[in-house]
Amino acid sequence: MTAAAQPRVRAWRLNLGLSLLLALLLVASLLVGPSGVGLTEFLEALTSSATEEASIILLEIRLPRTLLGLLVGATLGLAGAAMQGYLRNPLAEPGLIGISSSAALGAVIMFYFGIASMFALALPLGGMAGAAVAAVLLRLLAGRTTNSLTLILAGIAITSFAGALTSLALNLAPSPFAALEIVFWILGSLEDRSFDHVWLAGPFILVGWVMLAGSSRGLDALTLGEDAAASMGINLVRTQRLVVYGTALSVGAATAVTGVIGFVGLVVPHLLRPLVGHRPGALLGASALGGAVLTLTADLVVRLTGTGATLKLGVLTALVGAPFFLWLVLRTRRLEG
Amino acid sequence: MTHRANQKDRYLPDWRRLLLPPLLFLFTGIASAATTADARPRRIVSINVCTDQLLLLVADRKQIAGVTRLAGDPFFSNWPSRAVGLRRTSGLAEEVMTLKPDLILAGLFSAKATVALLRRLGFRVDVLPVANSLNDVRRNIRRVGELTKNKARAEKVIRAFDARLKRHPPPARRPTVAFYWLGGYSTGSATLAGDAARAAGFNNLADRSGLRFVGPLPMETLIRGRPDALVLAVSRDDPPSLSRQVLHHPALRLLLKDRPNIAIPSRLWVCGTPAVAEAVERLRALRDKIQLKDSR
Amino acid sequence: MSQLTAKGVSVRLGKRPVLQDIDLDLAGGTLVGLIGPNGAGKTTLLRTMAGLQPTTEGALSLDGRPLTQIDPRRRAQQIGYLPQEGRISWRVSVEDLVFTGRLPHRSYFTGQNSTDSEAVAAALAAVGADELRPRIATDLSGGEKARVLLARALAGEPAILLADEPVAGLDPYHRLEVMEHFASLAAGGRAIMVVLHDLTLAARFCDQLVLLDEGTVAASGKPEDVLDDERLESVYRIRAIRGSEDGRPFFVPWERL
Repeated sequence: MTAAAQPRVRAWRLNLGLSLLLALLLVASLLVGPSGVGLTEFLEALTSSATEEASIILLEIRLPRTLLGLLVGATLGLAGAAMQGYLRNPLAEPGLIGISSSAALGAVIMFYFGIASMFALALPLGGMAGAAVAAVLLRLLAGRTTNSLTLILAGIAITSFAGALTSLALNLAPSPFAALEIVFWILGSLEDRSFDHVWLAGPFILVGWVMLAGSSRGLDALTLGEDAAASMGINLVRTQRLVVYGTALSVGAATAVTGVIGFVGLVVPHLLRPLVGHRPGALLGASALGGAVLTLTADLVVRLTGTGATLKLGVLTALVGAPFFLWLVLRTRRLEG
Repeated sequence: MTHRANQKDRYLPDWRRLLLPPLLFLFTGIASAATTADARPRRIVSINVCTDQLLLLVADRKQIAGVTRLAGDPFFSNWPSRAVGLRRTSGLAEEVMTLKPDLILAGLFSAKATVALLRRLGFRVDVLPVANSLNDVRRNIRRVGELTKNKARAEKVIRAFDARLKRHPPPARRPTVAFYWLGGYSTGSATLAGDAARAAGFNNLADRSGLRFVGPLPMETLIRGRPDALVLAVSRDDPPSLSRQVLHHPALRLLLKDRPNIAIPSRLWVCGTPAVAEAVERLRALRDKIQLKDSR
Repeated sequence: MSQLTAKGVSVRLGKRPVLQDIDLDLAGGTLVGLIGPNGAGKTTLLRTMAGLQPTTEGALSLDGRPLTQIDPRRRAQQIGYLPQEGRISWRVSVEDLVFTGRLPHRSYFTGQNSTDSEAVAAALAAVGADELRPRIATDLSGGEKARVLLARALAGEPAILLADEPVAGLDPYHRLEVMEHFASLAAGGRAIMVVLHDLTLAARFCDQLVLLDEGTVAASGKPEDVLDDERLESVYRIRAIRGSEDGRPFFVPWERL
């Protein structure tokens, strides 16, 4: 009896630990910034006695950035875990099906035609339009089958095409500044995002989360293969749609407001998988928490390294993520070999 | 401190706004940006290295509350010494707002999110367009003069700029120059560098291949075009970079052997400032060298 | 007791007819062996009976109700299916793996309860895999893995169990052990259909055999009736040796013809 309950307790403890860490990071994220507004002002703001400037900094600048870090990080972790679980491949990541590169392309098109300078939300709206187009293409290319190979191939095709168009925009950019601006945006950042971004992306992200979370039974069953899963009453078509469109909604919206933040969706599920007993369903929640923790940590590092504008969040996650991933692969090979 | 009061009104949490479609926010932001245009701004913050330089030239030092870190960097700025003693910022919204600016200057290519956020918070942000010609430079100087209420000084800067440009007579023959920089990229006549070349009495090779803005110029086009001179962004003495690789191409080395070339630092024309006059002067010196060769 | 019936079932995969006009009855309390040469359509028939493969013609019914009208989860509570391919994608523990067999009985919002735990314990005990509980499923030997996968299918406590070559890759000891489990489960009232290539085992344990040849039922009935010399020659192209032990007939494939 106790033995049967053990993995549950383990996952529960892990999620509690991650939640505490996340809470700590959320507060820390509100306390760090170039203006020097810190703990004192934060405590004052809690008792509503802070200066107006301090509360603007806390509520209008740092809070939306923090919330977006939470939303985007959790999205990447969750979508990564769902994608790996669905494809039964630990190397899968949310970008695999072409959503993030299409969202990036959508934003780049806004840059390219100068629409980005016309109104403030042109970029995220363009990004979301790009993600929507990718979702429609996926439906056309791979919608009728539950064959994951078809899905991967369609994703690769979309990714390559969006990547090529992005490069073309860079090539044809009217000035080196425009090209540089595109490159910087693609690198991914949470800098100076406002509540406009939160309200715009938040609803899509939350709906995406619900869909991804709804796939957990299907993912558990798929551990034993498609036939076994179907025989256990799992609707494979539905599971695929939940994963693909859940990813399209949440990752599309996240990429649209922050640009491309790499490696979170790959590394976090990989890291946490052993801690939940490798169960793909249980990994979803833990990975969402872990993604938020990693993204907020990276964003804190970006801010603490001072020169703010030079180090982009997406660059940092890849800089830390890649060597870490390599280490992980080598360790796994040693353990299994 | 009147603007602070205004700003407070705009900031006060109005929960109805949460129910409105997010699109509406930006219109409120744009509308609010236009309000306090009458008074002479006394706390101006620039968040872009190009507006930094124009601000340093045109505005009173006392009016400037902050420029970017790059303003003090001689690689990017033409007047780094003028930034000494001024507050230099990261250009991020949080740091900028603590300076309590009554006017924020940004370039078209400043971080869009920062501009949007500052406007959302009720700050007045003016975005200066990119200067693609010598005329655009004059226009931007004038614009900064108007925004900062230093019209007379702006006109003076423009006059000095014009005087510097007129010092040379127009050429008898227009030799062809080719820009070749940053990994085989060239620049057409619709850019500031292209206009500077025109003012210096050059035809631009890029025009012949239909390149108006910035884009790659194939080496074959470059060699077949037989330019009279080359303008490089990097010299072979610069630290190694991928874009410098191209200078080691045998074909280009051959081309450079019997043609005059100069390396013009990009800070002279990356931003539309009067410093572009120095680029024009250097180009004219190059042209004079060619004509000397012609007359021999 | 449950009864799964196929009536006039034909299945095409693409344009290729795989099953033609199959009539079949699988009733509680019997262990049925599904035999036939490679490519006869055994796996397709089993998948069709599990409701995983739509029929081109004909229909299946579970206790008189058309199978297609039963909600997949209800169906899964009644019919267990053990696929031939025993792939396990993640390094889950044996216990967690067997717990997934409880999925048809759990909704999204209910966690594991004591009924689940008891069913899992019973399933593990039934295949003698109690001691494997904490082990990592992907690290098990072939025989251990086969037993654990069977436990997964049993954990759902289905009235009908369809198993595709459950003893492939097992040593004689474990083959006998697994077949004994099937026999005792059938004796306990379940309906069990097992695809087998080992004719000796099939004859030894099954109450009935169904011989499939090129998509049709070539014969069905008691093992000694189905496996007569003439059919062995025409369907399998082999000759077998027969005898009896403890009053039960046995049967050993001996040479090709």
